[in-house]
Amino acid sequence: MSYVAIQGGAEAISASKSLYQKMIHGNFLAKDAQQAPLLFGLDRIMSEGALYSQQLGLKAIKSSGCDLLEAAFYLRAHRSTCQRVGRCSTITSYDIRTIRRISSASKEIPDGQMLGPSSDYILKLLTKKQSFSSKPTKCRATTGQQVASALDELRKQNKIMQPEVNEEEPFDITRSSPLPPYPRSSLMQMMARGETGSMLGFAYTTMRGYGDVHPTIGDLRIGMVAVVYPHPFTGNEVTVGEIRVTAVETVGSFKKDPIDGKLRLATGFGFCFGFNETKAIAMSILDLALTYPSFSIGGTGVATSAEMIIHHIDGIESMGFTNHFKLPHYVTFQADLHTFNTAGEHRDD
Amino acid sequence: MTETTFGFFDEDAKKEIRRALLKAISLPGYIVPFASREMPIARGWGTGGLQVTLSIIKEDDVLKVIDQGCDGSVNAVNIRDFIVSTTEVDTTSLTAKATVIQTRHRIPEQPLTENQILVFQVPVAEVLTTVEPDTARQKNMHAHREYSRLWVLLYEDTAQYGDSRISNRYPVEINDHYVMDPSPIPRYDIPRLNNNPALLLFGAGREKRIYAIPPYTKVTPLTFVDRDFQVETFPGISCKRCGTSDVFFDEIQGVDGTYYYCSDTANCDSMLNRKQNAA
Amino acid sequence: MLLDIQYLSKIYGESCGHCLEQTGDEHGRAICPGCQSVVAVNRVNLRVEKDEVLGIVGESGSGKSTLLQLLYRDIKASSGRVFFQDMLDSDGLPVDILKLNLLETTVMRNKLMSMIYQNPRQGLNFLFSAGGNIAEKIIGAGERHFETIRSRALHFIDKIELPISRIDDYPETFSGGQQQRIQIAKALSSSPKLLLLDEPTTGLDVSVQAKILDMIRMLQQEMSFSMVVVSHDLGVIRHLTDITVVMRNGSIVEYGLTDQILEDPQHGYTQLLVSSIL
Repeated sequence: MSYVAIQGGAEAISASKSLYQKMIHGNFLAKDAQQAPLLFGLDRIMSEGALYSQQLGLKAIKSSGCDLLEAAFYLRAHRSTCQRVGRCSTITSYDIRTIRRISSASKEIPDGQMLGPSSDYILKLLTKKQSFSSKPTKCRATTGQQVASALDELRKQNKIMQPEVNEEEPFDITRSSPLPPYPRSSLMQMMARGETGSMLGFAYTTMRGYGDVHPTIGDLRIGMVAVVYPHPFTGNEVTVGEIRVTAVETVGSFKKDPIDGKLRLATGFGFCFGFNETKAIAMSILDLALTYPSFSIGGTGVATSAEMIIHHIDGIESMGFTNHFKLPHYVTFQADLHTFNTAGEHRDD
Repeated sequence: MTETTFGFFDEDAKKEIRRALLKAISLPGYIVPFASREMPIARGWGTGGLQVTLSIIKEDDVLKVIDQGCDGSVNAVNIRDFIVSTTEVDTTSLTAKATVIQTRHRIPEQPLTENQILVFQVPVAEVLTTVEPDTARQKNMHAHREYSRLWVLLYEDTAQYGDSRISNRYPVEINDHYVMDPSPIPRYDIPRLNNNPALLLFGAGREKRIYAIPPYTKVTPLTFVDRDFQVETFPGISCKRCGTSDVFFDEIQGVDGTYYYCSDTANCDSMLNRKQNAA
Repeated sequence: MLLDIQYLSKIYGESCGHCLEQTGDEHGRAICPGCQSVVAVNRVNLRVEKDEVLGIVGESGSGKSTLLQLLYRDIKASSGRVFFQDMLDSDGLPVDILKLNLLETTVMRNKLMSMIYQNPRQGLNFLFSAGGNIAEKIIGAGERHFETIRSRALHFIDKIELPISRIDDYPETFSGGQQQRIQIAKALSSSPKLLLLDEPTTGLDVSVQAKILDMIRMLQQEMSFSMVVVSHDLGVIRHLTDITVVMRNGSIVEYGLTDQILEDPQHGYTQLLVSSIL
């Protein structure tokens, strides 16, 4: 699976494409064949709807005629009916059983590069039949052992900024509405359920010069991770299931660390339900821009403003309000016309 | 997939919204942030008002829902049906019979009483948005009652147009303290907020804000000392259907001229009834 | 005495606690050798009398603009105290204006002092008309009668020699010199006791500069207020001020009558400054 060695690349890519085909045609994850072609849509709405349920997710996609903004909205609305039962134990990206893990920061990384299933190298041609590796390829997920971030080597050498943590408890955006100055945890939560397209747009502004010019992906991984929950009676930790997730660490530029004046690299983190690399990368870039605005070469821009990001990336909110303009505004518009006429008369006098 | 509970939400959510409401009532005109839940109805379509209504409604309440003054408009019907489907409360179009009234853009014509709660759907909770979009600075301005930029807007409009150009969402000062957005009600309804016997609650779902005007609170529109607050007037006009005058009218452009109908359709029904009974 | 500045300092950066003693004119530096903090203003003591016009000169980086921003509370002072005549607390004791909260600062800015910035974009709100900008100051001082606000705005538009028909026009439709006049009208509309001017004519062409300086001088005599003028242009200082202060590396190196400073400078740095520019 490694694409480290140049000569192995072609084979790795071919295997990667083949795995991707199997994944979206039902030979990979799905117990239910009907679910497989909907995988990325399902993953996207579970993340944006902030509810991980494949069963409800599929129902939401069907109920919305595959309008994914609307489908995410169904999930979010359903959330409101669910009583919170408690908190699972903290999930770390190291615990992910990765089926794909790459770094564009260095060729050689501990535990190796693993291309896994990806559409990155598939030619986007609709009418031409493409052939994929006929060699039997099996997708292996790592099992049991933790896989460190490819950036941990630099971290050990104390070359990476540590974000300041001033929060005793993470903020909870589902229980109160965050106020400025926005805690990092509230921004991360908003982004974890943000709309992929909106986040992509904002992240893109930083790439085009309104922020950090060219971030590098330090570690990107997709895979399954166990959700561990303390048993309500025994208190023992019990695995209640596995969820698909995506985690990304991005490296930005370096600057003098105010703590000791040493030069250090700034990093950003992205994490979301399901396989959604675009969203996780966008999130890590936004985190980078928000946490270290002054590190950005391109200076500050919209993406470095917490105010701008926190209020404008939620698809369910922006979609709802945009559509509300279809409602009657007879009274307000009539009142507008009244003052318009009065003002006109005053002007003519 | 669980059955929905009374009032759609789980009890914790309702409790939390009620806490925000209590705070809002204690600080008239102050904007209280709350963790606005996603509703099965889209943001911008009344989810703030809906959450307030669902968190306060009881089995013996009688519900009235209006949109632009009308009980029969699609959005009002949709919201009323949804509330009924999760609470099975009785509904009415008669203002006097209702205990909880959810509204968009109007206050019913018939005066409200101490036993009633009027819940407003609010699109933009923050009155300072037009002069200061930044949330942190807005909060600071409220804390210091620094409203001079709203007054400058009023000055500019008065100088150039003879009066403020704000036709709805007219800024009001609550109890001589905070300045507040009264939701997009027409100017006609602004004086009717003052000293109102009913509890007035405001919910903004997308903006995640709640605020309130307790019963019998002083509400004054921002107006220069040497100017009178102007409201929409309809001199010499009466409703084409019920014949009432001195209410807020919808203007309907017909092929042969302009017709006027009561904006408050329930009030129109009552007036028509009274007229027919008298005849 | 209108304004009494005591040991006013501004340090940029994490101070090691010994920055003030290791910088300033006698050390020939503004950067602390211990912690690399920049001491922009170093223990300045200064008094401004009623109706006095005080000039502050010095090269860029000497701390003169920072001093002005500290007084107007655009930036926060690191240490020191500033007292303003008649600013007393409920016990009748003088109030340190560096300790005012936001609301009190707003009242102070609208009633006691005004600032004229080099860049009109800082002093004017470009979303409001010329009249609206003036109104903002009058409203901020507590006026709520429309006719009073309007007539006062018209009065000041006339005072700064703009046609009163342009009162409702927006700042971007005016020239740079006219924008500066509107700033002056706005600043004076609340009848402040002290006017702070930060390079008020820099960037304007010479003929416009002279007219604006004449107007400021005339209005000062007519309305009687004190001024603190910061400029690197000794011509401006000569034209406007009675007293001049010379600053270098955050501290005051010379203080005296403007005539004396310009004709017979004592401090070596002032001599250099005067000879190089005149």
